[in-house]
Amino acid sequence: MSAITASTALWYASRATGIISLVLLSAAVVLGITVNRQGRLPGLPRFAVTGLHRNLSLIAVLFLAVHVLSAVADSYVSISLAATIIPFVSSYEPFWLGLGAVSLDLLAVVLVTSLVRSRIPRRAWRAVHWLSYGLYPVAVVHSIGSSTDLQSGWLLTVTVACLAAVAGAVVVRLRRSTTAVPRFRRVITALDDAAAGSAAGRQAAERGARR
Amino acid sequence: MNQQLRVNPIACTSHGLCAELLPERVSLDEWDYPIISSEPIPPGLRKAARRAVTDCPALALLLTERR
Amino acid sequence: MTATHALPRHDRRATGPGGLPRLLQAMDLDAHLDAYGPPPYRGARQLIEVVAAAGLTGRGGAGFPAARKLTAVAEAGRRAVVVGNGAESEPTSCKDKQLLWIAPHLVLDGLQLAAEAVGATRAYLYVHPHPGLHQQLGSALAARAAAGLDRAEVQLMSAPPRFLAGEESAVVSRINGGPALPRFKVPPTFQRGVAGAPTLVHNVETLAHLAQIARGGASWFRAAGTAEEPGSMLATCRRADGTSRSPRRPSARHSASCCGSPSCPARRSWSAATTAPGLPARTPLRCRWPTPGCARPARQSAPGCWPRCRPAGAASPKRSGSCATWPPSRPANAAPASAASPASPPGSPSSPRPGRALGSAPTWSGGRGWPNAAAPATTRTAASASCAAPLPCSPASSPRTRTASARPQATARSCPSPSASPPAKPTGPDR
Repeated sequence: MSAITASTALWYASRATGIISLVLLSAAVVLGITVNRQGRLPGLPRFAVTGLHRNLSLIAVLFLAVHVLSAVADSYVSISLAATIIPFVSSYEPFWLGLGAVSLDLLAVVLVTSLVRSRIPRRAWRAVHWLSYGLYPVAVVHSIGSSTDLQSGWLLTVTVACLAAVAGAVVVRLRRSTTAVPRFRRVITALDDAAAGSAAGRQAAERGARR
Repeated sequence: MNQQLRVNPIACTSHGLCAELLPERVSLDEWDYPIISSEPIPPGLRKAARRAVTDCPALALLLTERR
Repeated sequence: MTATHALPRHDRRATGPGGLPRLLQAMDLDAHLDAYGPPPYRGARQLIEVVAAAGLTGRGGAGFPAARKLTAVAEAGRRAVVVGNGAESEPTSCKDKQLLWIAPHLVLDGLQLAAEAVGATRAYLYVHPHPGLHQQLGSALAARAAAGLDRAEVQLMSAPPRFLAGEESAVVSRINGGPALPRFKVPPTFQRGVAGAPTLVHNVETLAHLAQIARGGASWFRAAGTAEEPGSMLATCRRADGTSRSPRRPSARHSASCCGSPSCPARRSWSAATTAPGLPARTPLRCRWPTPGCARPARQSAPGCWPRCRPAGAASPKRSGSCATWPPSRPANAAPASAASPASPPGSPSSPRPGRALGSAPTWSGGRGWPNAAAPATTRTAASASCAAPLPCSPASSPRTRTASARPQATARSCPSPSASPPAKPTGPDR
């Protein structure tokens, strides 16, 4: 096992914070789905679920910032700052780092809109927030591909566990959204049923009256 | 100037956070939809009211200036 | 119901106290212009003041003061839009539909006057789908356009046939192209409505009243109703079994066309569905229940109680088939004195109008004049003078007993022979 020297500290820091960001991001996605489904965490009030989702996301962004900046600062491989934002322009591992850049861009948009959430239209915020479902798989693929850390050992187990948790939450989310009738349609159906019911009642009464 | 908390009943999906964050003004009915009292929000409660507005997952609350 | 149904010419003779009924006088454009003249455009401020003095409140159910709404939209400072809301949406109410069918030009006048009051150049008429009604309204609008009466452009909008489609924010949402479902009104409709413009949404009955107030003035409007709730209002009367149409063959059981009087013994078999809040008991209600083969009562036997039409001298109410039919067979300018002579047929009956004046003098000053508010509305009898007070009415009682009463009666009028075919009643869903 190689020792962490001053020259490799940044490299290790980048890898470590990357792994932590992935775990935190997975937790944030699962909590986000929990909030959407109005789930509760044992012993916590409702606002704690929302608060936890927001705080974990912000901490994940912090760790991600350290991950990106340490990767740029590290002199072992040359990764320019532009390569972290513009996808696929890096000289080192352009594809995997490009995926990282994509997920970083998406996360930046989600972050900014969530910070000004109460000031932008509700629908706009929701539409951008849906990008989270896109940025997570891209981040996972970037994590697995850009270094061999996650491809073996207990880190692989951790990665698989995170993926399983998110996949399970997404399945729950998809099941509810595909089987549940949208509220808009439920309202219209309820109103039409009420009208049909009153019309049927009237017709029954008329038939009764004529007899 | 007084502030008043109002709920958009169409956007509200009964998460119920508002009653936890501002119990002085918000209570929940049997389906967890908010019942908001029409009393104004005094300065001491403004921070909690702002938090309720920003934390609502459905963005269904708003603070209006009351004349 | 065909679209070619011709509206009869209106009968300008007075009917009940306060000149009731006011709205339900069927008129096509010619008759309307003959009676009322063109819309009296005279500036926004004047109309709002008159409406405020008249105390007109919304007839769509909320009862909000109309003048306040007009002022709020007029003061919004931008080009406004006016919407006439004829989608009452209440399943048991059809008063708006009837009004639009019978007197569309009153509503359209009100729409134009309201548009002038708030400075709008666009107006919408929002109506539930109904066979024939849209064509009727379309042809009414076309006739007005040809006559050059309208200043604001009116567009006919179809409302989905369901409850809540007539709610104010649902109306605005529908006109904006969205679903006809209520929206959160922030900012309120009078500030941001149709296409972001300040929008005035009024029930069609309110607009019809507005059209009359603009001509008759506040004191005329206040001649009916009470001090707290001035003016008249339309209500739907339904029987307890839910039907509002009269049966094809009248029978004793269905002889009751009385409604409204709280102590009326027939009331136990009635349920009155009204969309107007706090309907004062003293305001005589008018049943819009068209009696088959007969468009107007031959006599008013008790205040607040509108008996069904029966021909003069007929013993049984079942013979109402020989009563005056609708449309009428003579023009509208019948001299009132002819009402006393059995030989001359009465003036044109219009929509079912109970509460006909009893040997009354006309209140219309003739031509395009407006009733002189100072003139007595009717030659009142003691009975009709107390029309405001509900008295027991016994519609099931035999008319023979009534003939013996000392009350002056209009049975001197004879109903013309049924030369015209039975009236084409507005049919369709009674919603």
